[in-house]
Amino acid sequence: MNRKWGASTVAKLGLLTAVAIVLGYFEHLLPVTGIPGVKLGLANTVLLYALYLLDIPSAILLMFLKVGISGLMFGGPAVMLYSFAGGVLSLIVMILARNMRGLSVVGVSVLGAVAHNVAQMLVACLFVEARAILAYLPVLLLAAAVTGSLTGLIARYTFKSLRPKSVYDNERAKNSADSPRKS
Amino acid sequence: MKKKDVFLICGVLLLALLAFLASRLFMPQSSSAQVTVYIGGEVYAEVAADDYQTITIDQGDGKVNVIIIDESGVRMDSSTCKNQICVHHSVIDPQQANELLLDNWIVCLPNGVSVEVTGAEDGR
Repeated sequence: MNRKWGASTVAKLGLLTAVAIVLGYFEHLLPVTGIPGVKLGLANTVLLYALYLLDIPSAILLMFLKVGISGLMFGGPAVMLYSFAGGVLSLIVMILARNMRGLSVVGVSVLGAVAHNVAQMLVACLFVEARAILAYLPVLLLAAAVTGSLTGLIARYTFKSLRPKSVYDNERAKNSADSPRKS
Repeated sequence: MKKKDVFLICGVLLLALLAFLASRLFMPQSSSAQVTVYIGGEVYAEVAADDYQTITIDQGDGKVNVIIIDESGVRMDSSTCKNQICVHHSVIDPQQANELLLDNWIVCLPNGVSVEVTGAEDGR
């Protein structure tokens, strides 16, 4: 990863990290689900943003920062292990899904949510009788379909209001790179 | 949202349904209602559901769970864990354990303790 982190990139990533951490914390305050292990995954919208409107290295860095800082601030080593596993697997899956044809951000978000829950279940299997965890698989899959769709939709509408400028920027960059300057 | 997204969501829902059916099919059946306590992946105790008692599991490193089996059913009475999800779990009546959907387990994730309640074959 040989890239230059300019001041604006650093500032942008710092802001996004803060947003992700706050969203992750904010979620705890919402009484959305009473089901253990199920949460909305609002912080994932930030990762989706990075994946769609920035680039993959930024998304990876964001994920590590979010998991690390949230873990230190609100959790312990166990919480960190779970969110780390969930973060890594879901990001891998989302990077792959991002490049699949025909999937929009909603589909990518659902796949990410499924991967997140499956990864956390696998970690849980290390500490608890595996059948106890597997019995919970249907609940977590169902939850992933619902929460993944919701965060995907949130991301979609967020992009809509953020996108025009960045699309314009990208196109301008592309045009100046692709076509030789006429004037 | 594209067509493939909808297919994907339906696929995940279908998978959830399949996992649910599989868990019903492979549910262990015993001749009488039973309570099995696990620590980690190991069986710690296996008792009949009508053998009323209090099981205290002290793992020696500050992790203590107390399970009570009485006429109302099986419950986690107390746990030293932080989230207390296991303590808030509803009482499991062994007579209805087979009818309970997915919910015949009480799990204490932080302490690694899980309790499985299996109903009798004919429900008695």
